[in-house]
Amino acid sequence: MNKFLLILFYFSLAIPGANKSSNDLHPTDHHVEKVDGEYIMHHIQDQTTFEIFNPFDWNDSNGDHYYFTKKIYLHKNEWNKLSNIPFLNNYLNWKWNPSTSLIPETDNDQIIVSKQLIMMVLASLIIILLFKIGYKKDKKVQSGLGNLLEVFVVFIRDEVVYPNMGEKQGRKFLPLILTFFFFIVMLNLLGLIPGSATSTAFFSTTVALALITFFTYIIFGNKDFWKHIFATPGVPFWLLPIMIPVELIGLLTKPFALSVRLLANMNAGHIIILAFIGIIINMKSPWVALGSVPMALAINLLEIFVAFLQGYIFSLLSSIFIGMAVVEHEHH
Amino acid sequence: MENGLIALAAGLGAGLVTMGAASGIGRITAAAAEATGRQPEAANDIRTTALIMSALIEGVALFCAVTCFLLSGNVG
Repeated sequence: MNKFLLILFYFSLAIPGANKSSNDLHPTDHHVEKVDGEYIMHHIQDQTTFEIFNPFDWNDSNGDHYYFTKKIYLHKNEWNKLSNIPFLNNYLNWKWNPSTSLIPETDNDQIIVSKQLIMMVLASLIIILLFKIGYKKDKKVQSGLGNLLEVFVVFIRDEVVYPNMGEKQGRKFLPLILTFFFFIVMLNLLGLIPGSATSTAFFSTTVALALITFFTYIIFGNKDFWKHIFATPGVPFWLLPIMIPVELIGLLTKPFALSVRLLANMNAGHIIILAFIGIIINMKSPWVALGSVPMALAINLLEIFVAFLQGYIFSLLSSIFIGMAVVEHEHH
Repeated sequence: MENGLIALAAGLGAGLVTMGAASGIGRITAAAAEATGRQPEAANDIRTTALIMSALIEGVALFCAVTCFLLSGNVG
């Protein structure tokens, strides 16, 4: 029962809050002459519109100045109206925007489904399907897809979790760390497809993931862990007023560093690719493409490596932080 | 005048951070490569340590990069 409540709590963290109203997310389309900082910032923000490549739109038939682009609006149709839910619609139709006021507004609005939410659901579904299809329970030696997944699972178990937590505690937290790894890697890889969005490039995702690590080592931290924070052994008592705030700040820095690292790494690649492509538009000459497209391609290939590296780093640091809190160590 | 100074500060800051982080990660990698050469059987431990240390340095560098990025948002 306790475990179930904990899982529910973790899930509640993953719901992205602080949504802007759909008008802010989708400003009026305008013809862009120049790719500058503002344009790039607009494109790495969360939106409610998917822009998908459409080869038949050569004459801008939508009239929105986006050539070869099909726009999929998530907020203009009716499927996510809260009033579609029978019986519950009176209780659920409120819209809360903490940036304007802390009081929930009653408004018959839609559930705001943004790009990153869709990508997260998609990634989870893909991971579940991969393991359902790939892993054969009746076979001792996996083959094909199961073999590929086994490489990652065994790597995370033997190189990341067990060295940092030990066999006993590691077995307990292995599912969490594996979920981190596969979820982040899948989100990063899905984000590399043109037209999709990288969920891990938004604060609401990375902070939720980092908070899961934070609350895990807060909740499962043993006596030694708290003793090292509030009464560090071997430190004179008059130093404690300085030591305790420093240790408490150190406790909070860990999830902050985790979230910012993931977000900045993912955003950096996107900004660089967009800047390389933007050079073509800024210079107003198609010949620049000969130089900038191969460079953007090289960055894209680097991004594939970074996608795996960031998943590995996140799970490694999470297992180290959790391991520091839960592992019983002898005193010296 | 002020806009120019802000832009200069953001650009210079990003450059200085990159210099520091590159020097740090370069030293770590050099030491790790040398250690692996001396003791190839400890390659796994050395790689893990080097990656963790690089990630910590990178974390600091990225904080500064984000600061510079926010600073550049104030231009104009």
